[in-house]
Amino acid sequence: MTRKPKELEPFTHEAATCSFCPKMCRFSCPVDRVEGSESTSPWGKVTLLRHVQQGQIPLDHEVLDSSYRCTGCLACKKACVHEQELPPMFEAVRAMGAAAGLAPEALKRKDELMSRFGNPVGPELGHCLVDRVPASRFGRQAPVLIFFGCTTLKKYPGIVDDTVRVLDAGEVDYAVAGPDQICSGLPSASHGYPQRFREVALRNIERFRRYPRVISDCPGAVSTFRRRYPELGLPASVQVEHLSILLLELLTSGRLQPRTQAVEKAFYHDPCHLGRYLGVYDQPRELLRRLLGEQPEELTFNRDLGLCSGGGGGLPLTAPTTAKGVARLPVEETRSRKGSLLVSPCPTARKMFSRADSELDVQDPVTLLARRL
Amino acid sequence: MAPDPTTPTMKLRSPVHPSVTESDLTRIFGQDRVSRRSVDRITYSRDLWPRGMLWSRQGRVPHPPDWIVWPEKEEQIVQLLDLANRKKVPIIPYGAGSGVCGGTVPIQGGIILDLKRMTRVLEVKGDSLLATAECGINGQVFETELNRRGFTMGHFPSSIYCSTLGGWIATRSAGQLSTRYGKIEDMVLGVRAVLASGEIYQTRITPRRATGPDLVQLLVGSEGTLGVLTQGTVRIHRLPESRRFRGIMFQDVESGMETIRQVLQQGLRPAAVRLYDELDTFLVGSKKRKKPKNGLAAVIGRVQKTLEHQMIAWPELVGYLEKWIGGRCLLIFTFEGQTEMTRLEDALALECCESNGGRDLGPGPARHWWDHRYDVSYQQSALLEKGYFVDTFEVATTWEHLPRLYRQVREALSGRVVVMAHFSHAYPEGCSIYFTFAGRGSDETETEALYEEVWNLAMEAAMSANSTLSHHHGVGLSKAPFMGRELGPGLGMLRKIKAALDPNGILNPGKLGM
Repeated sequence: MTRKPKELEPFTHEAATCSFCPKMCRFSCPVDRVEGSESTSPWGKVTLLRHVQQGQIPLDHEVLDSSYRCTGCLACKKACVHEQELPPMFEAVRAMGAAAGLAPEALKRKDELMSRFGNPVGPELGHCLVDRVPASRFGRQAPVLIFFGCTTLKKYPGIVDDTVRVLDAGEVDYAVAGPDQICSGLPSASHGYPQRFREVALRNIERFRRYPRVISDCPGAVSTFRRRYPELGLPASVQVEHLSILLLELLTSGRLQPRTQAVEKAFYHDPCHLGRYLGVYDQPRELLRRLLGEQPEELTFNRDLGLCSGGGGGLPLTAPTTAKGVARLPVEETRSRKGSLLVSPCPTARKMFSRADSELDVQDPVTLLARRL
Repeated sequence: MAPDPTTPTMKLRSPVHPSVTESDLTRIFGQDRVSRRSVDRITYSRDLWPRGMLWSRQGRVPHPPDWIVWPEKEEQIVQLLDLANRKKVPIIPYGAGSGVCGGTVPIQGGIILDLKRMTRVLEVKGDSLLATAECGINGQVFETELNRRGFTMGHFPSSIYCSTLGGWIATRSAGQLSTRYGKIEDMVLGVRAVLASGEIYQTRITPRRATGPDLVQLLVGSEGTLGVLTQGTVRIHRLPESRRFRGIMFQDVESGMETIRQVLQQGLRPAAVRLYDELDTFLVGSKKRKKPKNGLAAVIGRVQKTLEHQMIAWPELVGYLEKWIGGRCLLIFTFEGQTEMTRLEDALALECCESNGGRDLGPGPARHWWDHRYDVSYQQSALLEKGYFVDTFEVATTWEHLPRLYRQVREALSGRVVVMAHFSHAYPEGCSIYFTFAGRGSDETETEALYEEVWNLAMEAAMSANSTLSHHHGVGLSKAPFMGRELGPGLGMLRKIKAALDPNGILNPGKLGM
């Protein structure tokens, strides 16, 4: 008899399926493409966890380190005939690590911030909202609740300005979530703090109930609201969409008529949580087509197999060099194919791409739209 | 004393070559590109050789490497080989570890040299139809990049998602469309490699040469024993204008074989040719694309699934089953290229099939295969999870020996394991047969013993039917014991070449029978 962690029991079949597979999904894994290590390929990560599960090796720092090397991008699921979804397994292991005090210090600090402020940054995110959004927009009843993501507020407050400008121009009746309600809780879930995630989610759900529609500029938040919140009580009547869907609606309904302005070689990046998680591929492309006057250029790996930005799953905190390397893949391709602009409707992806190449012009579609009003 | 129930059971042996120190390697590769962490020693201890899968299932790691290193520059490889020569330490070049013969298992310990951080596409020349890339590039990544530019390599091994350019060259690989595009040896025009001495060999790229023996071909299939491949230059093709599919049902495998022979000898070059024997047709070849969820089809599907499991558990049942499912052998063709050419090839092949008693099934079965052509690689996990072993071997011989090869291998294994086969990679001179077998004993020890017994019987049966031991998987460890019979005096030649190029025997020792 050896120790077989019960937390991994629910994944017994998944672990065996990956562990005995010929590593068929590895071409799709951004971490594998950057690190080139068997131990951090999807196969390697799961094989090690299977050994832990079987009581053959301990869950130690080395195994945990391997389990942290996943952005949760879900590309491996798209490359898998069995459609295995691995992030839940890694989240379970990270939770075991956190409970045992083995989590990396950077993640512990983020959890502390989540605990104190309800977001992974601090009070300044709320201040940013207060500075940029009229006070009358908070707490009011409206058909639409706008929920800005943490990265937008921390790194790209201009997205808030552009969104407000566009929504006002389109005469949208909306409220803005906050300033004390920021973050979907996804970082807590993916870092291995499920209880903290639950706390944040329940608070958000309580407020979302009042609104027929919740719109966020953060794909991670949208997919979290749609995939994780219902089991915690989010009513099915609350419709959750990404901002790009609302923007396209404003254009197709004629409520906004921006001028078309071409950009030479603009590439579109599919955010993981918008594309693979929610299946939203066409609407952002159509939005760009209307703004640019032509279809955006496609990266070699796109749509279902689109490249991750490296920003998810806490990877920038646990393996920053790898995260940057992942971001470099679409950035370098954009550069090498003489692209002048990389468009991503994901603020986290934008942050990662800018870290990888500070000279490359990376924009959110809402900014392109605001500039064309 | 009773074992501590919280103590993990896996044991890793100490490094075989303690003379190599961390600073020796970090001086060359830097801190982050050197590892002797347990997790890495576990994951690099095996490839996809089914025997390694059994070890993993049992929680055993009999052959962990001492170290793993990840070069990013060729110069680092040169320095590593210098170190290895001085310290007499094995170096095991490593692509993606998707080989099925144990070709990267570090049986003498040593250093795994993982090339997956050397992945650049260096050049794509549309005018000369050539592409050069670093050897660590993933096959599917390379092919997708070529596709974007309007080209294809035409090399589609079932491992394309999980193998590398270097691995393809090192193992003398073949892809599913080899009948049209050729095997890797037909595709590689040149390589760049670091020899054991540290010298760089680079081929001058020309369409052909008559300047002595072809040194590129010496390295193709050398399985890391003669040099470390760092770059490959391969022929590429413009993406095909059209693709056509054809499925034919024959009453027996012999009619199908004869048809393939005639089609190939007529000069037709289908992209894919695959003839499934009766059991393979029943289990794989004739499956419909979508799983029926209800109705009679669903009942039949469930019965079929149950039969599959029962057969593997009791292989002696197969004989009875075959009487029931007999009389159906599926042959599929795909054709690609210019529209008029594919139309003509399809028509001529169909004419040949019908003259041999084949029944036209239209494009459906071949299109289904095309859409799911890599799926079978995902399916072995279910059997391994349930305690079975599953393996494949791919033999080849000339047409006159082919029926005997098929019969002999099946007879040798029947009753012990479930065995099925398909014929693919056809030539005017002969064809390859791809056997799949699965079975189990009453426990892990018996299972491993049965696996070994069956493997040896299969190799013996194949050799006595004038077959080669490997059409495209390579040799590695699994076929190494049979290399003397395979090559005869040729093995001595190979060993002399090895001794001349690698006098200290540092490169991937124990493989290829060397």
